Amino acid sequence: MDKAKKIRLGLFITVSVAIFILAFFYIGSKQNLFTKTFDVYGIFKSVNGLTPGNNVLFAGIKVGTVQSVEIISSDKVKVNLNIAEKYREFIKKDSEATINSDGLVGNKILSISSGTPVSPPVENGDMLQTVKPLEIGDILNNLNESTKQAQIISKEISEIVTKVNQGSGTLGKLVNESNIYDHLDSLMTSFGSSTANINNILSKASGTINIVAEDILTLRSSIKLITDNIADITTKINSSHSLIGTLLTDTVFANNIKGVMKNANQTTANLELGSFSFYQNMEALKHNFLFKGYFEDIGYWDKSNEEKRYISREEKILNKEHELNQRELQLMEFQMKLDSLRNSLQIKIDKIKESDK
Amino acid sequence: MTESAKNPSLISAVLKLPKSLEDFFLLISGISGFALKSFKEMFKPPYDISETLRQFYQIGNKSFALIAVTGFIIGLTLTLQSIPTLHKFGAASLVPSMVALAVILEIGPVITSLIFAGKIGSGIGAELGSMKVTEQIDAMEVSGCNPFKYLVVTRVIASTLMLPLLVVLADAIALVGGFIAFSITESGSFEAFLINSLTNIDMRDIIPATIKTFLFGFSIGVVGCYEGYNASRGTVSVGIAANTAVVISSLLVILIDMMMVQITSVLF
Amino acid sequence: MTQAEQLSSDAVLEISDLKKSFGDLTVLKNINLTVSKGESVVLLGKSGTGKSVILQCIIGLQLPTEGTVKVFNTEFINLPEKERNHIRRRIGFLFQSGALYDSMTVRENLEFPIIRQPDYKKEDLTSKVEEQLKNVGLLNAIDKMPSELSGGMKKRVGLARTLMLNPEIILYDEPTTGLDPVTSNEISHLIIEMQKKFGVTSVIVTHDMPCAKLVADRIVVLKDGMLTAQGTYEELEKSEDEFVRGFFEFE
Repeated sequence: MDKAKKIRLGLFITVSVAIFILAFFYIGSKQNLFTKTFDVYGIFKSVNGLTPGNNVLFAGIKVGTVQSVEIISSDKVKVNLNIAEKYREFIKKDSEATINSDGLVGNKILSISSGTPVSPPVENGDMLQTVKPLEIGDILNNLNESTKQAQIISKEISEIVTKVNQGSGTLGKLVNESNIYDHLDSLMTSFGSSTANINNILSKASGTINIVAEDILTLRSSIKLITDNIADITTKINSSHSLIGTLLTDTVFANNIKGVMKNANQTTANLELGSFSFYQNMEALKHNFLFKGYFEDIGYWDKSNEEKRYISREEKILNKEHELNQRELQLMEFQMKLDSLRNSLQIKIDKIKESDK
Repeated sequence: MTESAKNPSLISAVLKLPKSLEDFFLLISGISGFALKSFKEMFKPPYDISETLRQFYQIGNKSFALIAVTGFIIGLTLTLQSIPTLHKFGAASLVPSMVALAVILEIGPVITSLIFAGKIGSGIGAELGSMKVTEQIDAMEVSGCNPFKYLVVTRVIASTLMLPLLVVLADAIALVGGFIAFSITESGSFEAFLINSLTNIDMRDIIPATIKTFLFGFSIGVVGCYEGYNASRGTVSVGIAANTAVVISSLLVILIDMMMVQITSVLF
Repeated sequence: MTQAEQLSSDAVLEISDLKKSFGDLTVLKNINLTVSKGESVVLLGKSGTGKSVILQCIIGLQLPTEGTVKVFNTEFINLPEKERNHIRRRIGFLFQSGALYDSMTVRENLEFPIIRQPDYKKEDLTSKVEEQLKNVGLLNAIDKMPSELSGGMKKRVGLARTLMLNPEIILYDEPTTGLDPVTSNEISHLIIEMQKKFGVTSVIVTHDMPCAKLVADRIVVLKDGMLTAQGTYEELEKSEDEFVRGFFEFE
């Protein structure tokens, strides 16, 4: 074999072996096969599908991998981490480990927080503090609870309005109006605290998570319903020169309602802000099929189901509106009746006065 | 020559699948024995280093162009075909990783080996077959040289060691082809493409994929040599040897691949 | 010293009761042949009667179905590889086609058997190659490829390659077949020359009668897997057996 051929053979072997070794080391370095490492562990109640080989991030940088995940008792899961030695000085003894998911593919990642600067760095075999993973599901459940409460309250208010309406039939019922008033007042208070509660949740949540629009919309519509109802009642009560009107025009109650209104406005503003950013996110997410699976998993993103829910809510809202309109009509009738009653009462009084004369 | 010269026609040679169960078992035992002998002789001195190097060149370098073109086209077409599909799901960014996974784990080793079986298996089969027919192998034997060592061992070593290298090169070139196809519709540097490609591949993928290319190379070399070395006399048998070598070694590549997938899924 | 005594004392090749069959076909039924040192024996026989098979059995390319083949008083085919190859190097075999390695030049062809010897000396190599090529008169073809050579040249290079190992016995498988009479004559004279120069024992399979006439000390005739007659050229020419005489009626 001549020299030129030998050279070409040498080149061939060198290039291919070099490529292989480079790929081997590149892939190996991802798994910390060739760098000095140390081990730490954390104990979680649940690891949400974290598996060995998942990445460990510190300040968003990959510093190691999850080596093993083992159940050590019925509510404790030990997660062993293998981290590159060169990052050890940055991870402090009070750094906390959290499990969350990696944006795009939905792989689980374990992130370690930076800890306090004064704290000494972790050592091999240390246990890291862990933080219960913040679950979108939990927050949404909370929000749902509040929405339900608000719905119940608004339903009760409308029931009261109905009662007021029905109570208008006879004068005798007027006696009971103080009861109704008390009831309404307490309802308003609880509604106020409920909206405050919602506000609280929202302001808490808005920083950390994106909220599913549909729930916000429901919340908003139900709150709107409530505020509409309240506004309705208040205007009617305020404008009415009726007996009920005078009876109900009470400063305490008015203040209460004002508070509620303010609260509700704040909520709406919050919600608008939240829903706008949410909408943006949603638009982005819709284009990413990978999220579909995720939302299906937690039950929030089934398109057809979603539409159905949406439509049924719309119907409900329309129904409520309709109901409200009818109630308005009833209220007007009631006012007219009251007026005529007053008139007849006036006439009777006049007659009595005349006959007295 | 008094050996009965019942040479089958070339057509039946192409379809020279075992005519009966007996033939089939004879083939299996023949190839296994041959493989075992090649393996044993590999480690027995004397070593014919210069001839082995020559075979490295013949088998490695001379297959490179063919393997390179194949690799490039595989990478290109695989990428071109997967982009529209993944685009539908808005996941075109996953193309590099998908292409790399497919190429490095399966398509690269298997297609390269099949091409290699076609080129080298038939080449060895025809070369040794014609040496057998023209009594060159006998001439080595009678001059007290071990033709098995000189002809078979060198070729088996060369194909066992060269195929893995060719596969590595084919994989690398396929990724370049993939990048070119990818950059038609998508943007991003080659470096980003490469990093994306390799993120989902780890040692548990690469080691079995490499081990099996050694097995492919060994079996292609052994089958080619077996068919050539055992060619009957007559010019037709050279064609038969070349042909059977390709058929059997391609089949073996597929079978070994299947077994390796099973074995590695158990072991790794 | 009588011829018989010479045979028994100097026998380098003894074939006794050799039988060879391929499947159901029995080619050699019962062969007994002894060749003594320095003798040239020509094997005559019709094509396809197994003359070459005898040669192959001698060198061990074919195993006898029955009987024994002894070369240098050993049944070397049963020896371990190393010793078997050692004996084999003392036997030369000139193939019908020359069997040159067609991927190598003439020089590499001649070097091939030598450099695979356990005790070869690199310094002597070139001079030895040139010497052997000179012997066959083809020194100018030293860097040619076998495909560039004519049939006669191939056979001569083949002979030169066989001579590289200084064999004590050379087996010729139809050395002149397919060559023109002039070249045939040259080859025949080469065979005689080798014999004189190196004292080689030769076993020649041929049906080229002029060649046989030139080289043969003794002619053996093979018929139906048996050796039917043997003797000198002149003796057999006058044979009463019609089959034997058939070979000599060419003129």
